[in-house]
Amino acid sequence: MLEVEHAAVRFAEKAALEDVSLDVGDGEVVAVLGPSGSGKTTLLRVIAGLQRLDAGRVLLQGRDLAAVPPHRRGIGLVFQDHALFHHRDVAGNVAFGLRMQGRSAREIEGRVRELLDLVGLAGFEHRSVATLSGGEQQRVALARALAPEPRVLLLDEPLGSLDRRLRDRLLDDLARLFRHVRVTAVYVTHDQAEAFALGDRVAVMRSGAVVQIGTPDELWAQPADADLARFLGLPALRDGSVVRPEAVRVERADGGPGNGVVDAAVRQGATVRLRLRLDGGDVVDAVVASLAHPAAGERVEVEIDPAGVLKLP
Amino acid sequence: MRGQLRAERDILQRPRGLEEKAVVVASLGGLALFLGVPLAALVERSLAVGDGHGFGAYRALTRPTAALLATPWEAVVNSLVYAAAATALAVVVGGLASFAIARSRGGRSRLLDGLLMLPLGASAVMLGFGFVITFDRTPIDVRAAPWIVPVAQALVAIPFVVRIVVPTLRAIDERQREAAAVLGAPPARVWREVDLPIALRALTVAAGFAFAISLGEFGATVFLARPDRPTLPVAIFRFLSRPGELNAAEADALAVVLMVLTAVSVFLVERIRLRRLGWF
Repeated sequence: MLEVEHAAVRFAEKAALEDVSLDVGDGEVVAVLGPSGSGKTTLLRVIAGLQRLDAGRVLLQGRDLAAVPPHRRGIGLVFQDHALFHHRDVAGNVAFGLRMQGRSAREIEGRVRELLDLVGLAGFEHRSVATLSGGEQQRVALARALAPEPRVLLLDEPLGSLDRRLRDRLLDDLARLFRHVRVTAVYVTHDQAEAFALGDRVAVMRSGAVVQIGTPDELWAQPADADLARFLGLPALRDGSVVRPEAVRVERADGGPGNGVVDAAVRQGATVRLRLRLDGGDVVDAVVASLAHPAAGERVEVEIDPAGVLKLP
Repeated sequence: MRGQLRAERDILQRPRGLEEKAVVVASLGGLALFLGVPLAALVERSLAVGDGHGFGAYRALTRPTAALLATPWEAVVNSLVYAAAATALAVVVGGLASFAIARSRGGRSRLLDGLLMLPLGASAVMLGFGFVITFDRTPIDVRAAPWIVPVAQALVAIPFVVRIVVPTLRAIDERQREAAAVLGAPPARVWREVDLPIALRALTVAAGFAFAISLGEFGATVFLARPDRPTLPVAIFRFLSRPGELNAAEADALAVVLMVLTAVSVFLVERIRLRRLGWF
């Protein structure tokens, strides 16, 4: 559906994108995950036609987009800070792309209502966008991008400016919406949880290059390198290998000598993440789903399943 | 929010503490003293007849007078017509110039900006006097042409139009244009859908200011207005330069008329500015 081939962009001799290739299948959601400055936004702007390529090409349904200006690409873009039209009301924002397509007033009205229903803003047609909350503005931006039925939807940190609770709720809504409208999408984020929740596949970017592409399970099972493992939240051992938390079994020492001590215990919803310092000096994480978990400072007996230990370059 | 203006209502705040309140009281007091009292005195004097009060001076405005080659009332109409023409001219020229200036920050744009500020820097008297001594022989003897007055007034008003419109245009977030483009708007349509609506509101406000400025313009107009077509401020000046109680009273009455017309146009502008421009 959408192919990016060897894309390169330089800003004043500094590479923003370096030989990036990406393939998005029909109806697939690819999350692009990376820290700020890794080139994620530049990649989106290249696909949308807002940023010229210095090398490489972008293909949509097999067609090279080099000579196609942004307004003829049929791509939807949700900007990081929404970029809503402040001089128009909610309906005016959502209707914009439909008007550009020259649809009839009746058709536009129906489609606007349909979209506002979809994003949970029914009845908001004539509200001024300036009076909306951050989450509501986000939904308007999404409805506006989806209304003209784009071939590909691009989202640039759409939840980035929202507070945590709102983000979790919108994340669920987005996941449901993506399944419902079966949209082909590229979702840019610096948040691993967002990427794993929404992406059928996740492309990890660093310094303008794609480090690894795979399903969330694949990334978790075999991260490309130690840096990526650390980025995913897997602590590395002193020899550079990585231990996945699910391979670590931990028991209270119960008077026995044990082989480590609990450094920290952090509850994360239903589970507790334990940071364990082994007597040899290595640090590993374990995840337990018990209310009676060992507390910080307690001696424990740690057992590591060798299958969960990854040797990484 | 990057690149976006803060709403005026977010910046406005009530004065806090004794010091801030003192500053507010002092400036309002100063305004009342130096602006309010003279204006009130004018209104009072325009109504004074001997020991009492009446509308005699206002009634006299419709009658011919030795001070002018037209009735004072015709001067009011002249002023309104000239100011309307000057406003149209200032908005068109100033508006187009603003689009050009706002588009780039390069040297040429700054030069144009500076050139348009010249009337403000050179004083209106210089402008009017310059017109008189320059355009005094054929083929460009235009001193007697009625349109020379609005042209001069427009020149005085254009700097204000540019100063109002350029910052508004520059404040448009580039991503608004990008959003419009991605949603299917070709470049000309982007301009019409994003730049123009915002510019129109700024131009409306600018038009109001241009109108108020042109109505009260004296420095250039006094050189250029034909004797049989005086404007309001020129008529006031002619009345004041002649002796006689009625002349003085008619000058006061005309000044009050000018004040009311200017106040109404500024009031309308403020309503538009606050209601439709909102956060600009």
